[in-house]
Amino acid sequence: MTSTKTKRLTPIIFIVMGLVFAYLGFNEFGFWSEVDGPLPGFFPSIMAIVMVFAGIVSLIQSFKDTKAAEYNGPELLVVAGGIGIFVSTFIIGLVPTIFLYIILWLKLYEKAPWKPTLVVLGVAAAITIGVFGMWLGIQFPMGVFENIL
Amino acid sequence: MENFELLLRGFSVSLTPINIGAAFLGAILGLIVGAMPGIGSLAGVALLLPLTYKFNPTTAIIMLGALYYSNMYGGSFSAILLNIPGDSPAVMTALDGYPMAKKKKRPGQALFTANTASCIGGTIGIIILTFAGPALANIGLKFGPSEMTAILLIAMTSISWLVGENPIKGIVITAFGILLASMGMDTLSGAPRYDFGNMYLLGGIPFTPFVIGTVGFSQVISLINERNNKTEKIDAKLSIKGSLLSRRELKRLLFPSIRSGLLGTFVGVLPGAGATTGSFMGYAVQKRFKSEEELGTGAVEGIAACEAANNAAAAGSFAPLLALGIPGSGTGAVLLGGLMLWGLSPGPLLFQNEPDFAWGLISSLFLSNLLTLAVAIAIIPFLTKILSVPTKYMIPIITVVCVVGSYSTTYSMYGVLVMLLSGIFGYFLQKNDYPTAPMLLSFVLAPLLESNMRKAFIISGGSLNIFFTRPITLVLMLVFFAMILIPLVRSIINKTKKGKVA
Repeated sequence: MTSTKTKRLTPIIFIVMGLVFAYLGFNEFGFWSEVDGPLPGFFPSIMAIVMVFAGIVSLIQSFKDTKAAEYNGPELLVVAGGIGIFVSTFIIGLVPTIFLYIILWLKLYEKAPWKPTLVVLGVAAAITIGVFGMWLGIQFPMGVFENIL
Repeated sequence: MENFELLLRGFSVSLTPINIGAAFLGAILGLIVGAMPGIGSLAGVALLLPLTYKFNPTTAIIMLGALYYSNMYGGSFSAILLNIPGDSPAVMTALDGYPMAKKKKRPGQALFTANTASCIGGTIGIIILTFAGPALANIGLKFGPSEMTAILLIAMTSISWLVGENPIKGIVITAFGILLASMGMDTLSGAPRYDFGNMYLLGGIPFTPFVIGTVGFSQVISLINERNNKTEKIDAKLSIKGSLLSRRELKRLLFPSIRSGLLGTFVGVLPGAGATTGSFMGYAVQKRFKSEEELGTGAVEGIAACEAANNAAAAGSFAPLLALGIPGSGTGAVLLGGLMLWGLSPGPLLFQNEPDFAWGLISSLFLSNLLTLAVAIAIIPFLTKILSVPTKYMIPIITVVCVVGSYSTTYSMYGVLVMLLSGIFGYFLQKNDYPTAPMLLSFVLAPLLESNMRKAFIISGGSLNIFFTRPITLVLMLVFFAMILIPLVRSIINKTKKGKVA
């Protein structure tokens, strides 16, 4: 999947963001006071204006850019995997989610044999439970089981 | 002499069992991360940042320093054995390292050359850092808010211009990083701003999940395309004994290493240049000198020149980082962010207020250099095994480190959300040719720039004159404007020339 549109969309996002930050900076947080000097909106507003102008130049440049940005299905699958981990953590907890993710990823997507899958699971368990859980003492979220246990 | 005494005091800090252990762990992890193609020092340091939370600030930074430093060694492994640089500074190493390993069937000697040259270059860099760091800090003590503003503007601009092909995109992304950093609380008054009524945003964007996402998770997304790449592996069995260099070869690598060590340190001190530029320059300079074999055909001199330069640059980059609080690269920005997380403020006062920390870190670099050399040589027999781990198995492991690391730094799923969003956005930026390193640098430096700029305006009563009437500020501002205008003018001239030719 290729798209030239995102090359134009990206500077537009920056321009809009710059305008929002500049507006809030000038109107809500204040730019300058005769007594106190620069106010909280002073520095971000200047940077927002710089971003708007540079964004406009970048937008103009994007019309000359004929090379399209390429998006591949597998890349989006990694993103979906990350979102899946986030959502699933609220249901079954973080540690079970991680194990489930590894098994699903390696068995369904990579079609990996069980031996390397178990090795990767072992490494992930060592990192998650061994390093973070036991050594660093991190308490991981347990999802809906948190209230039950 | 005083520096030497302070360095010895630093050794009393770094040579404790826990600090030696931390440096050793950092060296091993750095070598592994550096050797894995596609991960790189920036992602490596970011991913391992949460691990250091267990330690006190000095031990934590000693570990990160060792990790960053050993990454430079590790990057050459895959460059030599697979012809795939583990990191951008190792690109030049592959030019002679791979031919020496493949055509001359001497992979062990190529690795040994890279390791020895790295150690020589690094030692030169650290020795210069020992003297240049405090000297730079003494100059920095004379800097007021206006000078610091100018120097921070130079640091941000230099990395925006140097990273990526399009300077305008560099400016956009730098400004974007500054705006992200301004969310949460105002640096001077503490008043809330840009929190959009969100409780989480009131505390600002958490640094570690943001960095892990931007460079770690986005890297995983990109790695998926490389998971089926076939590489030309060196099948030879490696042993330490079989990798040793002859006396003649050691002689051949000595002078290029010393020369590149000096050059690399100088490049490393410059903001925005870093190890990659050092490595390129080291190789380019070596071309002007006589080599026993032609460069590019597997010459010892070629490997030594770029490896010594990139390690020296990595050591040299600590000078502006510690003395002025200005990182020279994206990785330096992550290290600076790490220092700030532990409540340390790198800058001119660091050597005065936190001498144990500053000298402990510098002395630990000497230690890390030797430890990394020892580990790098010891793992030579296992390298082909380490490098044969398929990328497809690395992807879920790195994803897990990203998720767990982000959770552990915030103790909430908000950290994971920030990591995911910044990872997706980082991936989107990469696809559209926006470099992410300037964003990280500006995110870290923005609070410092803002407070100095506002203080300068308060001192001058709102007049811009303060930036043009003080001699040091004036020189620095001229450098800043030159850095902005020269590439623009050059680009306009080039376009005009092209137009005339067409």
